Amino acid sequence: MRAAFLAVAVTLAAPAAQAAELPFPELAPTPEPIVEPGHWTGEPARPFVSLRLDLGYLYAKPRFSFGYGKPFSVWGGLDLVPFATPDSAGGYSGLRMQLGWFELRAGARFVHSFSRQYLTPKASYDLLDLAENTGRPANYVGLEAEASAAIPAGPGNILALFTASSVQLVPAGAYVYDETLRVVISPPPVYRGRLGYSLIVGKEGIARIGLVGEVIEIPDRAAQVYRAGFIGSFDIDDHLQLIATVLVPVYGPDSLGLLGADYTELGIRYRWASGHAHVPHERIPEASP
Amino acid sequence: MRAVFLMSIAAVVATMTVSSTSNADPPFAIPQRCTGKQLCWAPSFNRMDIPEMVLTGAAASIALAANIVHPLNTGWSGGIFFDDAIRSALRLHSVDAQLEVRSGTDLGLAVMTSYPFLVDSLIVAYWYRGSADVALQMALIDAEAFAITGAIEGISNFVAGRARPYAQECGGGIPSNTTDCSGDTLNRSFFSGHSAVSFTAAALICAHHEALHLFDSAAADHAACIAGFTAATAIGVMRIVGDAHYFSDVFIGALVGTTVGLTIPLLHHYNRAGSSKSSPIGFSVVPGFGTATVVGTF
Repeated sequence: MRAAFLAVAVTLAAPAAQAAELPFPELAPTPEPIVEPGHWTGEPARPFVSLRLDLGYLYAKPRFSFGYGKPFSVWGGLDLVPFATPDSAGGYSGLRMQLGWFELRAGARFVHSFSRQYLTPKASYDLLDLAENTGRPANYVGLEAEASAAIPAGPGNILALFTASSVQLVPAGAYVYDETLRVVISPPPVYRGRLGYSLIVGKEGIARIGLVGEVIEIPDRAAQVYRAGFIGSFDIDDHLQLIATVLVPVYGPDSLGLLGADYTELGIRYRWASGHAHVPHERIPEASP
Repeated sequence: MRAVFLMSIAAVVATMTVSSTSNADPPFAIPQRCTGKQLCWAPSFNRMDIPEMVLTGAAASIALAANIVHPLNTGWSGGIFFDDAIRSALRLHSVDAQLEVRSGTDLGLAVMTSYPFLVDSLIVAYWYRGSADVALQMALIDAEAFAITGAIEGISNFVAGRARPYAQECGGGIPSNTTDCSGDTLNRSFFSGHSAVSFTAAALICAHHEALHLFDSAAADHAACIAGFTAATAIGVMRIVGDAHYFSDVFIGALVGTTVGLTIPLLHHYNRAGSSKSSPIGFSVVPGFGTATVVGTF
Protein backbone atom coordinates (compact mmCIF):
# COMPACT_ATOMS: atom_id res chain seq x y z
CA MET A 1 0.00 0.00 0.00
CA ARG A 2 2.86 2.32 0.82
CA ALA A 3 4.34 1.73 -2.59
CA ALA A 4 1.02 2.63 -4.16
CA PHE A 5 0.90 5.88 -2.25
CA LEU A 6 4.47 6.72 -3.10
CA ALA A 7 3.72 6.02 -6.74
CA VAL A 8 0.75 8.37 -6.57
CA ALA A 9 2.85 10.97 -4.78
CA VAL A 10 5.65 10.79 -7.31
CA THR A 11 3.20 10.92 -10.22
CA LEU A 12 1.38 13.94 -8.84
CA ALA A 13 4.60 15.61 -7.76
CA ALA A 14 6.10 15.31 -11.22
CA PRO A 15 4.55 18.46 -12.72
CA ALA A 16 5.77 20.56 -9.82
CA ALA A 17 9.18 18.96 -9.82
CA GLN A 18 9.39 19.66 -13.53
CA ALA A 19 8.25 23.21 -12.90
CA ALA A 20 10.88 23.55 -10.21
CA GLU A 21 13.52 23.04 -12.87
CA LEU A 22 12.64 26.48 -14.17
CA PRO A 23 15.01 29.26 -13.16
CA PHE A 24 14.34 30.07 -9.54
CA PRO A 25 15.06 33.54 -8.23
CA GLU A 26 17.18 33.08 -5.12
CA LEU A 27 19.02 35.76 -3.23
CA ALA A 28 22.36 35.51 -1.53
CA PRO A 29 22.38 36.07 2.22
CA THR A 30 23.81 39.30 3.54
CA PRO A 31 26.28 39.20 6.43
CA GLU A 32 24.59 41.58 8.83
CA PRO A 33 24.92 41.27 12.58
CA ILE A 34 22.35 39.11 14.23
CA VAL A 35 20.39 40.09 17.28
CA GLU A 36 20.74 37.81 20.26
CA PRO A 37 17.45 36.03 20.88
CA GLY A 38 17.78 36.53 24.63
CA HIS A 39 17.40 40.27 24.33
CA TRP A 40 14.30 40.28 26.55
CA THR A 41 16.87 40.65 29.33
CA GLY A 42 17.97 44.03 27.99
CA GLU A 43 14.60 45.72 28.29
CA PRO A 44 13.87 48.49 30.77
CA ALA A 45 11.81 47.67 33.85
CA ARG A 46 8.25 48.95 33.60
CA PRO A 47 4.63 48.04 34.32
CA PHE A 48 3.53 45.74 31.52
CA VAL A 49 0.96 43.38 30.13
CA SER A 50 2.33 40.30 28.41
CA LEU A 51 1.09 37.27 26.56
CA ARG A 52 2.75 33.90 26.29
CA LEU A 53 0.71 31.75 23.91
CA ASP A 54 1.45 28.04 23.66
CA LEU A 55 -0.13 26.34 20.68
CA GLY A 56 0.19 22.75 19.59
CA TYR A 57 -1.73 19.68 18.54
CA LEU A 58 -4.13 19.92 20.17
CA TYR A 59 -4.02 22.54 22.88
CA ALA A 60 -4.12 26.29 23.38
CA LYS A 61 -2.66 27.82 26.55
CA PRO A 62 -2.48 31.60 26.55
CA ARG A 63 -0.81 33.07 29.63
CA PHE A 64 -1.70 36.69 30.30
CA SER A 65 0.58 38.39 32.80
CA PHE A 66 0.23 41.74 34.49
CA GLY A 67 3.35 42.84 36.29
CA TYR A 68 6.32 45.09 36.80
CA GLY A 69 9.86 44.52 35.59
CA LYS A 70 11.42 43.12 32.43
CA PRO A 71 8.89 40.79 30.81
CA PHE A 72 10.01 37.15 30.58
CA SER A 73 13.21 38.03 32.40
CA VAL A 74 13.08 39.79 35.78
CA TRP A 75 9.59 40.60 36.94
CA GLY A 76 6.78 39.94 39.35
CA GLY A 77 3.06 39.98 38.87
CA LEU A 78 -0.18 38.13 38.23
CA ASP A 79 -0.83 35.29 35.75
CA LEU A 80 -4.16 34.42 34.13
CA VAL A 81 -4.09 31.20 32.10
CA PRO A 82 -7.23 29.85 30.45
CA PHE A 83 -6.61 26.58 28.64
CA ALA A 84 -8.43 24.13 26.41
CA THR A 85 -7.57 20.70 25.08
CA PRO A 86 -9.81 17.95 23.65
CA ASP A 87 -9.74 16.32 27.10
CA SER A 88 -10.21 19.23 29.46
CA ALA A 89 -10.67 22.94 29.88
CA GLY A 90 -10.18 25.34 32.73
CA GLY A 91 -8.00 28.11 33.98
CA TYR A 92 -5.15 29.01 36.27
CA SER A 93 -4.50 32.21 38.15
CA GLY A 94 -1.67 33.06 40.49
CA LEU A 95 1.33 35.13 41.39
CA ARG A 96 4.70 34.75 39.69
CA MET A 97 8.15 36.08 40.32
CA GLN A 98 10.99 35.57 37.88
CA LEU A 99 14.59 36.50 38.68
CA GLY A 100 16.59 35.55 35.62
CA TRP A 101 17.10 31.81 35.83
CA PHE A 102 15.01 31.37 38.99
CA GLU A 103 11.21 31.39 38.96
CA LEU A 104 8.58 31.04 41.64
CA ARG A 105 4.82 30.81 41.27
CA ALA A 106 1.78 30.00 43.36
CA GLY A 107 -1.87 29.89 42.38
CA ALA A 108 -5.04 27.92 41.81
CA ARG A 109 -6.08 25.86 38.82
CA PHE A 110 -9.63 24.83 37.97
CA VAL A 111 -10.00 21.81 35.72
CA HIS A 112 -13.12 20.40 34.07
CA SER A 113 -12.49 17.10 32.37
CA PHE A 114 -14.60 16.29 29.32
CA SER A 115 -14.01 12.57 29.30
CA ARG A 116 -12.36 11.53 32.56
CA GLN A 117 -14.42 10.63 35.64
CA TYR A 118 -13.76 10.44 39.34
CA LEU A 119 -12.17 7.08 40.03
CA THR A 120 -12.94 4.37 42.53
CA PRO A 121 -9.84 3.83 44.68
CA LYS A 122 -7.71 0.84 43.74
CA ALA A 123 -4.03 -0.07 43.75
CA SER A 124 -3.41 0.23 40.05
CA TYR A 125 -5.11 1.73 37.03
CA ASP A 126 -4.97 1.05 33.33
CA LEU A 127 -6.36 2.85 30.30
CA LEU A 128 -9.63 0.96 30.51
CA ASP A 129 -10.19 2.33 34.01
CA LEU A 130 -9.73 5.88 32.75
CA ALA A 131 -12.15 5.25 29.89
CA GLU A 132 -15.00 4.16 32.16
CA ASN A 133 -17.99 6.45 32.29
CA THR A 134 -19.30 6.45 35.85
CA GLY A 135 -21.52 9.48 35.41
CA ARG A 136 -19.24 11.56 37.63
CA PRO A 137 -17.15 13.81 35.35
CA ALA A 138 -14.06 15.08 37.12
CA ASN A 139 -13.99 18.70 38.26
CA TYR A 140 -11.40 19.88 40.71
CA VAL A 141 -9.27 22.76 41.89
CA GLY A 142 -5.55 22.40 42.36
CA LEU A 143 -3.69 24.77 44.69
CA GLU A 144 -0.16 24.85 43.35
CA ALA A 145 3.23 26.24 44.32
CA GLU A 146 6.24 25.75 42.09
CA ALA A 147 9.90 26.74 42.09
CA SER A 148 12.01 26.23 38.99
CA ALA A 149 15.54 27.09 38.00
CA ALA A 150 17.85 26.84 35.03
CA ILE A 151 21.22 27.32 36.71
CA PRO A 152 24.07 28.15 34.31
CA ALA A 153 26.70 25.44 34.47
CA GLY A 154 29.29 24.64 31.84
CA PRO A 155 27.97 24.65 28.29
CA GLY A 156 24.36 24.55 29.47
CA ASN A 157 22.02 24.76 32.42
CA ILE A 158 21.15 22.55 35.34
CA LEU A 159 17.37 22.28 35.36
CA ALA A 160 15.50 21.91 38.61
CA LEU A 161 11.81 22.08 39.38
CA PHE A 162 9.72 21.36 42.44
CA THR A 163 5.93 21.47 42.50
CA ALA A 164 3.62 21.01 45.45
CA SER A 165 -0.12 20.68 44.81
CA SER A 166 -3.19 20.26 46.93
CA VAL A 167 -6.12 18.97 44.89
CA GLN A 168 -9.47 20.10 46.24
CA LEU A 169 -13.21 19.58 45.56
CA VAL A 170 -12.83 15.88 44.78
CA PRO A 171 -15.58 13.84 46.51
CA ALA A 172 -14.40 12.03 49.60
CA GLY A 173 -13.17 8.55 48.86
CA ALA A 174 -12.54 9.20 45.17
CA TYR A 175 -9.35 9.42 43.17
CA VAL A 176 -8.86 11.64 40.14
CA TYR A 177 -6.65 11.72 37.05
CA ASP A 178 -4.72 14.99 37.24
CA GLU A 179 -4.74 16.48 33.74
CA THR A 180 -1.68 18.62 34.52
CA LEU A 181 0.63 16.09 36.13
CA ARG A 182 -0.97 13.24 34.16
CA VAL A 183 -1.09 10.81 37.05
CA VAL A 184 -3.89 9.29 39.13
CA ILE A 185 -3.85 10.91 42.53
CA SER A 186 -5.50 10.44 45.84
CA PRO A 187 -6.29 13.99 46.90
CA PRO A 188 -5.26 16.27 48.21
CA PRO A 189 -1.42 16.22 48.24
CA VAL A 190 0.86 15.51 45.31
CA TYR A 191 4.48 16.57 44.77
CA ARG A 192 6.77 16.65 41.77
CA GLY A 193 10.54 17.00 41.60
CA ARG A 194 12.42 17.27 38.32
CA LEU A 195 16.14 17.43 37.63
CA GLY A 196 18.04 17.58 34.38
CA TYR A 197 20.64 19.26 32.27
CA SER A 198 20.17 21.11 29.02
CA LEU A 199 22.88 21.92 26.56
CA ILE A 200 22.90 25.29 24.85
CA VAL A 201 23.63 24.82 21.19
CA GLY A 202 24.65 27.21 18.46
CA LYS A 203 26.66 30.40 18.41
CA GLU A 204 23.58 32.43 19.26
CA GLY A 205 22.48 30.01 21.92
CA ILE A 206 19.26 29.54 20.02
CA ALA A 207 18.71 25.88 20.75
CA ARG A 208 18.54 24.03 24.00
CA ILE A 209 18.17 20.31 24.35
CA GLY A 210 18.42 18.31 27.51
CA LEU A 211 17.65 15.19 29.43
CA VAL A 212 15.43 15.28 32.49
CA GLY A 213 14.07 12.88 35.03
CA GLU A 214 11.27 13.43 37.50
CA VAL A 215 9.51 11.75 40.34
CA ILE A 216 5.91 12.37 41.34
CA GLU A 217 5.08 11.52 44.91
CA ILE A 218 1.45 10.67 45.70
CA PRO A 219 1.48 10.27 49.51
CA ASP A 220 -2.09 9.13 50.00
CA ARG A 221 -1.62 6.35 47.43
CA ALA A 222 1.78 5.53 48.87
CA ALA A 223 2.99 5.61 45.30
CA GLN A 224 5.68 7.22 43.19
CA VAL A 225 5.73 7.68 39.45
CA TYR A 226 9.12 8.05 37.76
CA ARG A 227 9.42 9.61 34.34
CA ALA A 228 12.33 10.41 32.07
CA GLY A 229 12.69 12.13 28.75
CA PHE A 230 13.97 15.18 27.00
CA ILE A 231 13.14 18.81 26.68
CA GLY A 232 14.12 21.11 23.90
CA SER A 233 13.53 24.58 22.59
CA PHE A 234 14.52 26.54 19.53
CA ASP A 235 14.33 30.33 19.29
CA ILE A 236 12.98 31.46 15.96
CA ASP A 237 13.10 35.14 16.88
CA ASP A 238 12.31 37.33 19.88
CA HIS A 239 8.63 36.36 19.69
CA LEU A 240 8.57 32.81 18.40
CA GLN A 241 9.98 29.72 20.00
CA LEU A 242 9.54 26.03 19.32
CA ILE A 243 9.18 23.97 22.47
CA ALA A 244 9.12 20.25 23.13
CA THR A 245 8.80 18.30 26.34
CA VAL A 246 8.45 14.55 26.23
CA LEU A 247 8.63 12.60 29.48
CA VAL A 248 7.52 8.99 29.49
CA PRO A 249 6.78 6.93 32.59
CA VAL A 250 9.47 4.43 33.44
CA TYR A 251 8.15 3.16 36.75
CA GLY A 252 4.90 3.50 38.66
CA PRO A 253 1.83 1.69 39.89
CA ASP A 254 -0.30 2.42 36.83
CA SER A 255 -0.25 1.38 33.18
CA LEU A 256 -1.56 4.48 31.44
CA GLY A 257 0.58 4.36 28.31
CA LEU A 258 1.04 7.83 26.88
CA LEU A 259 -1.75 9.16 29.11
CA GLY A 260 0.83 8.80 31.83
CA ALA A 261 3.44 10.66 29.80
CA ASP A 262 4.00 14.37 29.70
CA TYR A 263 4.11 15.52 26.13
CA THR A 264 1.79 18.45 26.68
CA GLU A 265 4.35 20.88 25.29
CA LEU A 266 4.98 20.08 21.66
CA GLY A 267 4.39 23.14 19.59
CA ILE A 268 5.03 26.81 19.26
CA ARG A 269 5.36 29.53 21.86
CA TYR A 270 4.62 33.15 21.03
CA ARG A 271 5.72 35.91 23.41
CA TRP A 272 4.55 39.49 23.40
CA ALA A 273 4.74 42.30 25.94
CA SER A 274 3.60 45.90 25.99
CA GLY A 275 6.43 48.33 25.42
CA HIS A 276 8.55 45.71 23.70
CA ALA A 277 10.46 46.94 20.67
CA HIS A 278 10.23 44.10 18.18
CA VAL A 279 13.45 43.26 16.43
CA PRO A 280 12.53 42.27 12.89
CA HIS A 281 13.66 38.80 11.99
CA GLU A 282 14.07 39.68 8.37
CA ARG A 283 17.50 40.92 7.43
CA ILE A 284 17.03 40.23 3.79
CA PRO A 285 14.44 42.16 1.82
CA GLU A 286 11.90 39.91 0.11
CA ALA A 287 12.43 39.60 -3.59
CA SER A 288 9.79 41.44 -5.48
CA PRO A 289 7.91 39.36 -8.05
CA MET B 1 26.35 20.19 5.95
CA ARG B 2 23.13 22.16 5.76
CA ALA B 3 21.23 19.10 4.65
CA VAL B 4 22.72 17.09 7.50
CA PHE B 5 21.64 19.74 9.98
CA LEU B 6 18.13 20.03 8.60
CA MET B 7 17.68 16.29 8.40
CA SER B 8 18.90 16.06 11.97
CA ILE B 9 16.13 18.40 13.05
CA ALA B 10 13.65 16.29 11.14
CA ALA B 11 14.95 13.15 12.80
CA VAL B 12 14.68 14.66 16.26
CA VAL B 13 11.12 15.76 15.74
CA ALA B 14 10.00 12.63 13.97
CA THR B 15 11.57 10.00 16.14
CA MET B 16 11.75 11.83 19.48
CA THR B 17 15.33 10.83 19.93
CA VAL B 18 17.91 12.93 21.60
CA SER B 19 20.97 14.31 19.91
CA SER B 20 23.31 16.79 21.37
CA THR B 21 26.52 18.56 20.64
CA SER B 22 29.09 20.60 22.47
CA ASN B 23 30.20 24.13 21.89
CA ALA B 24 33.83 23.14 22.03
CA ASP B 25 33.92 20.58 19.29
CA PRO B 26 30.57 20.31 17.56
CA PRO B 27 29.97 17.32 15.30
CA PHE B 28 27.94 19.67 13.15
CA ALA B 29 27.53 23.40 13.35
CA ILE B 30 24.12 24.96 13.62
CA PRO B 31 24.02 27.66 10.98
CA GLN B 32 23.02 31.15 11.88
CA ARG B 33 19.69 32.62 11.03
CA CYS B 34 19.07 33.54 7.42
CA THR B 35 22.29 31.93 6.23
CA GLY B 36 20.50 29.64 3.82
CA LYS B 37 19.67 30.73 0.32
CA GLN B 38 16.56 32.82 0.48
CA LEU B 39 13.42 31.31 -0.93
CA CYS B 40 11.17 33.34 -3.15
CA TRP B 41 7.50 32.92 -3.90
CA ALA B 42 7.66 32.70 -7.68
CA PRO B 43 5.35 35.10 -9.55
CA SER B 44 3.55 32.21 -11.19
CA PHE B 45 2.74 30.56 -7.84
CA ASN B 46 -0.77 31.17 -6.56
CA ARG B 47 -0.93 32.91 -3.21
CA MET B 48 -3.55 32.19 -0.61
CA ASP B 49 -6.25 34.76 -1.13
CA ILE B 50 -9.29 35.88 0.82
CA PRO B 51 -11.77 33.39 -0.72
CA GLU B 52 -9.40 30.55 0.08
CA MET B 53 -9.02 31.76 3.64
CA VAL B 54 -12.79 31.86 3.92
CA LEU B 55 -12.90 28.35 2.49
CA THR B 56 -10.31 27.27 5.06
CA GLY B 57 -12.35 28.75 7.90
CA ALA B 58 -15.55 27.18 6.61
CA ALA B 59 -13.88 23.79 6.25
CA ALA B 60 -12.45 24.03 9.77
CA SER B 61 -15.90 24.95 11.09
CA ILE B 62 -17.45 21.98 9.32
CA ALA B 63 -14.77 19.70 10.74
CA LEU B 64 -15.44 21.01 14.24
CA ALA B 65 -19.21 20.79 13.92
CA ALA B 66 -19.07 17.30 12.50
CA ASN B 67 -17.13 16.18 15.55
CA ILE B 68 -19.75 17.64 17.88
CA VAL B 69 -22.98 16.35 16.34
CA HIS B 70 -24.05 12.74 16.72
CA PRO B 71 -23.27 10.58 13.70
CA LEU B 72 -26.27 9.23 11.81
CA ASN B 73 -27.61 5.92 13.00
CA THR B 74 -27.02 3.96 9.82
CA GLY B 75 -26.50 0.62 11.48
CA TRP B 76 -23.38 0.04 9.43
CA SER B 77 -21.11 -2.35 11.27
CA GLY B 78 -18.65 -5.06 10.37
CA GLY B 79 -16.00 -5.31 7.72
CA ILE B 80 -16.08 -5.22 3.95
CA PHE B 81 -13.82 -6.93 1.42
CA PHE B 82 -10.61 -7.89 3.27
CA ASP B 83 -11.38 -5.96 6.44
CA ASP B 84 -12.10 -8.90 8.71
CA ALA B 85 -9.13 -10.94 7.52
CA ILE B 86 -6.74 -8.02 7.98
CA ARG B 87 -8.26 -7.21 11.36
CA SER B 88 -7.77 -10.77 12.52
CA ALA B 89 -4.17 -10.75 11.36
CA LEU B 90 -3.14 -7.38 12.78
CA ARG B 91 -5.16 -6.40 15.81
CA LEU B 92 -3.87 -6.86 19.31
CA HIS B 93 -6.11 -8.99 21.49
CA SER B 94 -5.41 -7.25 24.79
CA VAL B 95 -7.79 -4.32 25.12
CA ASP B 96 -5.31 -2.38 27.23
CA ALA B 97 -2.60 -2.91 24.64
CA GLN B 98 -5.02 -1.68 21.98
CA LEU B 99 -5.64 1.47 23.99
CA GLU B 100 -1.92 2.04 24.41
CA VAL B 101 -1.36 1.69 20.69
CA ARG B 102 -4.19 4.13 20.04
CA SER B 103 -2.71 6.70 22.39
CA GLY B 104 0.60 6.18 20.60
CA THR B 105 -1.08 7.08 17.33
CA ASP B 106 -2.34 10.26 19.00
CA LEU B 107 1.25 11.28 19.67
CA GLY B 108 2.20 10.29 16.13
CA LEU B 109 -0.61 12.41 14.81
CA ALA B 110 0.56 15.36 16.92
CA VAL B 111 4.04 15.07 15.45
CA MET B 112 2.78 14.66 11.89
CA THR B 113 0.49 17.66 12.04
CA SER B 114 3.12 19.81 13.76
CA TYR B 115 5.99 19.00 11.42
CA PRO B 116 4.88 20.96 8.32
CA PHE B 117 4.26 24.07 10.43
CA LEU B 118 7.11 23.88 12.91
CA VAL B 119 9.94 22.39 10.92
CA ASP B 120 9.31 23.11 7.25
CA SER B 121 7.65 26.48 7.57
CA LEU B 122 9.10 28.01 10.74
CA ILE B 123 12.57 26.54 11.08
CA VAL B 124 13.55 25.92 7.48
CA ALA B 125 11.74 28.57 5.45
CA TYR B 126 11.43 31.36 8.01
CA TRP B 127 14.41 30.96 10.31
CA TYR B 128 17.09 29.30 8.19
CA ARG B 129 16.28 30.62 4.75
CA GLY B 130 15.00 33.97 5.98
CA SER B 131 11.85 33.89 3.88
CA ALA B 132 8.91 35.08 5.92
CA ASP B 133 6.65 35.39 2.92
CA VAL B 134 7.24 31.83 1.73
CA ALA B 135 6.92 30.51 5.28
CA LEU B 136 3.56 32.25 5.69
CA GLN B 137 2.26 30.93 2.38
CA MET B 138 3.38 27.42 3.31
CA ALA B 139 1.64 27.61 6.69
CA LEU B 140 -1.57 28.90 5.11
CA ILE B 141 -1.51 26.14 2.50
CA ASP B 142 -0.97 23.60 5.28
CA ALA B 143 -3.92 25.02 7.23
CA GLU B 144 -6.09 24.92 4.13
CA ALA B 145 -5.26 21.30 3.38
CA PHE B 146 -5.73 20.14 6.98
CA ALA B 147 -9.06 21.96 7.23
CA ILE B 148 -10.39 20.48 4.00
CA THR B 149 -9.29 16.99 5.01
CA GLY B 150 -10.92 17.49 8.39
CA ALA B 151 -14.17 18.64 6.81
CA ILE B 152 -14.32 15.69 4.42
CA GLU B 153 -13.51 13.29 7.22
CA GLY B 154 -16.06 14.88 9.55
CA ILE B 155 -18.84 14.72 6.98
CA SER B 156 -17.94 11.13 6.15
CA ASN B 157 -17.97 10.16 9.83
CA PHE B 158 -21.34 11.82 10.28
CA VAL B 159 -23.00 10.34 7.21
CA ALA B 160 -21.51 6.85 7.33
CA GLY B 161 -22.09 6.25 11.05
CA ARG B 162 -20.01 3.12 10.83
CA ALA B 163 -19.31 1.24 14.05
CA ARG B 164 -15.68 0.79 14.94
CA PRO B 165 -14.30 -2.73 14.89
CA TYR B 166 -13.95 -2.86 18.68
CA ALA B 167 -17.73 -2.37 18.91
CA GLN B 168 -17.95 -6.16 18.65
CA GLU B 169 -16.20 -6.34 22.03
CA CYS B 170 -18.38 -3.78 23.84
CA GLY B 171 -20.17 -5.46 26.72
CA GLY B 172 -17.66 -8.29 26.49
CA GLY B 173 -13.95 -7.56 26.68
CA ILE B 174 -14.67 -3.85 26.93
CA PRO B 175 -17.14 -2.63 29.57
CA SER B 176 -20.14 -1.09 27.88
CA ASN B 177 -19.96 1.96 30.15
CA THR B 178 -16.63 3.13 28.75
CA THR B 179 -16.55 6.34 26.75
CA ASP B 180 -15.35 4.33 23.76
CA CYS B 181 -18.46 2.14 23.84
CA SER B 182 -21.08 4.58 25.05
CA GLY B 183 -20.05 7.77 23.30
CA ASP B 184 -20.32 9.10 19.77
CA THR B 185 -16.81 8.00 18.99
CA LEU B 186 -18.11 4.43 18.65
CA ASN B 187 -19.75 5.16 15.31
CA ARG B 188 -17.02 7.28 13.73
CA SER B 189 -15.07 4.53 12.05
CA PHE B 190 -15.37 5.56 8.40
CA PHE B 191 -12.97 6.91 7.52
CA SER B 192 -9.87 7.13 9.67
CA GLY B 193 -9.13 10.70 10.64
CA HIS B 194 -5.67 9.80 11.98
CA SER B 195 -4.80 8.27 8.62
CA ALA B 196 -6.31 11.07 6.57
CA VAL B 197 -4.57 13.84 8.51
CA SER B 198 -1.25 11.98 8.68
CA PHE B 199 -1.26 11.36 4.93
CA THR B 200 -2.25 14.97 4.34
CA ALA B 201 0.80 15.99 6.36
CA ALA B 202 3.04 13.58 4.46
CA ALA B 203 1.75 14.84 1.14
CA LEU B 204 2.25 18.45 2.20
CA ILE B 205 5.83 17.70 3.22
CA CYS B 206 6.42 16.12 -0.19
CA ALA B 207 4.77 18.95 -2.06
CA HIS B 208 6.68 21.73 -0.31
CA HIS B 209 10.02 19.97 -0.54
CA GLU B 210 9.61 19.05 -4.18
CA ALA B 211 8.38 22.46 -5.25
CA LEU B 212 10.64 24.66 -3.12
CA HIS B 213 13.68 22.42 -2.51
CA LEU B 214 13.51 23.38 1.15
CA PHE B 215 16.59 21.42 2.19
CA ASP B 216 18.50 22.60 -0.89
CA SER B 217 19.50 18.99 -1.46
CA ALA B 218 17.56 16.65 -3.72
CA ALA B 219 18.45 13.62 -1.62
CA ALA B 220 17.41 15.30 1.63
CA ASP B 221 14.17 16.60 0.12
CA HIS B 222 13.29 13.16 -1.24
CA ALA B 223 14.17 11.62 2.14
CA ALA B 224 11.80 14.00 3.92
CA CYS B 225 9.04 12.99 1.54
CA ILE B 226 9.64 9.28 1.98
CA ALA B 227 9.96 9.61 5.76
CA GLY B 228 6.63 11.44 5.89
CA PHE B 229 4.77 8.74 4.00
CA THR B 230 6.49 6.02 6.00
CA ALA B 231 5.39 7.62 9.27
CA ALA B 232 1.84 8.12 7.96
CA THR B 233 1.67 4.49 6.86
CA ALA B 234 2.85 3.37 10.29
CA ILE B 235 0.12 5.44 11.95
CA GLY B 236 -2.51 3.96 9.63
CA VAL B 237 -1.38 0.41 10.34
CA MET B 238 -1.35 1.11 14.09
CA ARG B 239 -4.98 2.23 13.89
CA ILE B 240 -5.81 -1.29 12.68
CA VAL B 241 -3.51 -2.88 15.28
CA GLY B 242 -5.29 -0.85 17.97
CA ASP B 243 -8.67 -2.06 16.62
CA ALA B 244 -9.83 1.52 16.11
CA HIS B 245 -10.42 1.10 12.37
CA TYR B 246 -10.89 -1.42 9.63
CA PHE B 247 -8.47 -1.56 6.72
CA SER B 248 -11.05 0.10 4.45
CA ASP B 249 -11.27 3.05 6.88
CA VAL B 250 -7.50 3.49 6.83
CA PHE B 251 -7.18 2.99 3.08
CA ILE B 252 -9.84 5.55 2.21
CA GLY B 253 -8.45 7.94 4.81
CA ALA B 254 -4.98 7.62 3.32
CA LEU B 255 -6.35 8.10 -0.18
CA VAL B 256 -8.30 11.22 0.76
CA GLY B 257 -5.43 12.65 2.80
CA THR B 258 -2.88 12.07 0.07
CA THR B 259 -5.14 13.52 -2.59
CA VAL B 260 -5.91 16.68 -0.62
CA GLY B 261 -2.33 17.09 0.55
CA LEU B 262 -0.93 16.86 -2.94
CA THR B 263 -3.55 18.50 -5.10
CA ILE B 264 -3.96 21.71 -3.12
CA PRO B 265 -0.29 22.71 -3.16
CA LEU B 266 0.87 21.09 -6.36
CA LEU B 267 -2.06 21.55 -8.71
CA HIS B 268 -3.11 24.91 -7.37
CA HIS B 269 -0.49 26.89 -5.47
CA TYR B 270 2.70 25.56 -7.05
CA ASN B 271 1.16 25.10 -10.46
CA ARG B 272 3.87 27.01 -12.29
CA ALA B 273 3.41 24.94 -15.43
CA GLY B 274 -0.31 25.63 -15.29
CA SER B 275 0.24 29.34 -15.49
CA SER B 276 1.99 28.84 -18.82
CA LYS B 277 -0.93 26.72 -20.01
CA SER B 278 1.19 23.59 -20.27
CA SER B 279 -0.50 21.72 -17.41
CA PRO B 280 -3.49 19.58 -18.33
CA ILE B 281 -4.96 19.76 -14.83
CA GLY B 282 -5.75 22.62 -12.55
CA PHE B 283 -8.33 23.96 -10.18
CA SER B 284 -9.27 27.23 -8.66
CA VAL B 285 -11.54 28.54 -5.95
CA VAL B 286 -14.31 30.79 -7.21
CA PRO B 287 -15.99 33.02 -4.65
CA GLY B 288 -19.74 33.26 -4.85
CA PHE B 289 -22.49 34.89 -2.83
CA GLY B 290 -21.78 33.40 0.56
CA THR B 291 -20.18 30.38 -0.99
CA ALA B 292 -16.91 29.25 -2.46
CA THR B 293 -16.83 26.80 -5.35
CA VAL B 294 -13.89 24.66 -6.35
CA VAL B 295 -13.64 24.52 -10.13
CA GLY B 296 -11.41 21.99 -11.83
CA THR B 297 -10.11 22.02 -15.38
CA PHE B 298 -9.00 18.88 -17.19
